[in-house]
Amino acid sequence: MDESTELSLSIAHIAQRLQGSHLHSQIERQAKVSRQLPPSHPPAPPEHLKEPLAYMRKAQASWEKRILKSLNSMSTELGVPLARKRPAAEQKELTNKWNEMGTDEPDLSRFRPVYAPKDFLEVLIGLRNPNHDSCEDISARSQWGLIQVPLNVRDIPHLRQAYSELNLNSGQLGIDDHAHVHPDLFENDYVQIGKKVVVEQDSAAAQQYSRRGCPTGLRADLWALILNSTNQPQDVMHYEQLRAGVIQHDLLVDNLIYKDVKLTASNDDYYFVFEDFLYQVLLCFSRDTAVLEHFKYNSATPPKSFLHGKVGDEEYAVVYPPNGVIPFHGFSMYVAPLCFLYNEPSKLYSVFREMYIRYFFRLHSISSSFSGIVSLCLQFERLLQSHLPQLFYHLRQIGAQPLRIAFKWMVRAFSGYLSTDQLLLLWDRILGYDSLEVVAVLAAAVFAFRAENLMEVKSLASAEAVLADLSTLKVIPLIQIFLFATAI
Amino acid sequence: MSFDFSIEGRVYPSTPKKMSEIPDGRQPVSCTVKPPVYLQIGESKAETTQSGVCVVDVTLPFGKPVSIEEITFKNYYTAYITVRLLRRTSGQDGPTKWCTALRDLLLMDNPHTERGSQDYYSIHRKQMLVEADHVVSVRLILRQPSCAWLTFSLEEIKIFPHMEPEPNKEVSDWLSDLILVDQHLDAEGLPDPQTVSSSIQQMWALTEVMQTNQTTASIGRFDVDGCYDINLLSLTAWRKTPDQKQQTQQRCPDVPLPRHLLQLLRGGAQGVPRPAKKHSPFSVSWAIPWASSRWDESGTPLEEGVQEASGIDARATSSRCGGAAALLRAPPGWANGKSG
Repeated sequence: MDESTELSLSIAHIAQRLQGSHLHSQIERQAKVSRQLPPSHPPAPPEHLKEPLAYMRKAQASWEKRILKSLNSMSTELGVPLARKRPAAEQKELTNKWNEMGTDEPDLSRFRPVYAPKDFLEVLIGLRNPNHDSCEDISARSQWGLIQVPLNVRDIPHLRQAYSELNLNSGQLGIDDHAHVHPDLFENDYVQIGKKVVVEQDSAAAQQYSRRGCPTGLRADLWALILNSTNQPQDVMHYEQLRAGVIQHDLLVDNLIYKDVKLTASNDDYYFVFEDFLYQVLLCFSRDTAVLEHFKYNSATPPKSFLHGKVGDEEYAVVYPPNGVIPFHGFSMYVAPLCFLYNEPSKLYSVFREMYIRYFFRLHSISSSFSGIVSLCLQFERLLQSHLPQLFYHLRQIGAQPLRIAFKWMVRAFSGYLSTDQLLLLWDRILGYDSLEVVAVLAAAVFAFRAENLMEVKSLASAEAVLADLSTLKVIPLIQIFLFATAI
Repeated sequence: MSFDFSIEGRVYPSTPKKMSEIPDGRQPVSCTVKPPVYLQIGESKAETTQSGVCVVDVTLPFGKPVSIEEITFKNYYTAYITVRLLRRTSGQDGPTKWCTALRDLLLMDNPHTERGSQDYYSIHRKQMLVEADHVVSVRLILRQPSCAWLTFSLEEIKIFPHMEPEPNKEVSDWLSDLILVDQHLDAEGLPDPQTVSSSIQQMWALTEVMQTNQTTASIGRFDVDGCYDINLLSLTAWRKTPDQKQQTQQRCPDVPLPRHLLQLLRGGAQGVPRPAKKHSPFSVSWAIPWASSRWDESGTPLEEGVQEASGIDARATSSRCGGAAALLRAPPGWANGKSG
């Protein structure tokens, strides 16, 4: 037998044995997928993958430019470089106090948050499609709300289809685990299923399961499973690497992060205990170049700079901050609730990063995505307009556009506004449905819930007062009633 | 035939692929795209009303009929497209005849809303009702029933010629060969298939990892040779125009600063006194001159009998003075915090 025959024999043999194995079925599936692909056609250009609508791309670019300009001017005014290497002594000091960065009280009075959600809202309100005929808008419904771009958003009948697991007949965590419901009716069985899902390590099952809520004891595992953050040794190593990056280099955005944590999470009754954790995670996040990957599908573009003295030299072009994300006021609230679930920093970190590159980035970049903030705003307004027209009209008449109140909730995915158990139940659904739509639904449901009081108010300030405290709300019943018990 | 079409007749939006890659290096046919003609009812008296139908003619090189493989284009607010082909029926000099290759293909889910409005599309010959051979000219009939849009058309129209298919069955041949071969085989002297398969799995996993990590991200370094000293961000983002860089250095943000904002910003320093050491939003001014000093929550005087808020949402109930006065005094909404 010559060599080539032998080789083909071995291959044949392997192929035979492969049949029936797991790998074979995977290969087969892959082959099927590739065969079903349409005949090859020219790929869309990268910017189209970031955001298909040209005017949205443009709006995002000019918004970024404003942010960059202000960062630049902050750096020049304060005489603080955007990035510098820490001297050895400083590095050592930071290493020593890594776990208690919160005790440090640097003078941050000179630093200012780059922007707040309110400023971002103004940009979204100003968005226009240049090809949209606005001459007859006076009578058109679009004029009633603040968002003027004609995106596709789902109405209640479509939402009912998409969110069928939330219907009135199926058990929900957040409703049916209430103290007065006997646990045998729903909770016990449901928790058992959850345990099974965790044992099986089945990501898809975990996602499906999460649609009806994750039990508190299993949530950390289920979320990690959905997000495929397994916290392997290499993840821990990666985290250590990032930590080293923080210790070596000092960034101006670090001060923004400090400031933001001090202003938001440290001032929050639920989250202030996590201050140190938040610094660790957010500072490491800012050094993580793996985050740059998500700019392929994010309409935002990471800021670019050139290393000191090498202006224009592409070889010395770098992204700033290394992860390309400039934190805005409230950014740390994306991390804070996760601190309740994970006490190991590397694990907390990898879950947060995954949450960010899947969901949260959409809440502060201008895009036409379903889960993008523009769509959420429009969906919120449309839901109110079609289901509570009187309320919407009333609020608009007194100068209290509902979106002006709800925007801050949505931009943070309600983090910092709900009580934590409720917030986690909401985020269960975000993960379960792989979409932020439910955030807009909840915002509308909150208005519906307080509709009676809101009809009485006479000013924006008093409307805001009515909606000031959401920490007593039970979110899942609100969503369920709004979606499935509203007459349509 | 029509049944086939209902299955095949889909337009596939361009899927993400490797971006720089041109699939199998094909070149589009050089063709002339004529300006779109918008149809009007009756006498065409200057564009008084919007038209809902538009015709775009694409002529192929004279005397060289083309067999079309696919037509690609970028949509611009067209809701439906019909493709008509002018084909030469027999030989080089035969008579030409119009036929419809595709009727009212949906490009926008909902003509009134954005989805699909600026997407890339590709129509393959398999999707067409007729054989797209010996085509002399292509007529694209575009429809947009919604009056929401000022105009509609197609951009970047390209026609790719049909190549004779090469015998493209290598993979399946290879597999069937294997199956034939292994019928008269004995397993002796071969490595343990279990081990082989598991090591292949491992290798496969490794290559997958390698593939996904091909960017700089896998190394994770953000510095260049240990240096990451940055003084200024480039405003010209990813366009390689180093010259403009110098200008940005001197230019200050050209955003005007309204006087009242300035007032607000200055006023922000005063406000309800905070416990020492705590970082209060009251002492915050904004990095961006246009940034609102009103924070993201605005002040909400207690008027409507809202219960004293606790913790998380108390910020909105805390400024006790109403309206504009509160705004001038401080960015409201943050009085609570941890103040006792």
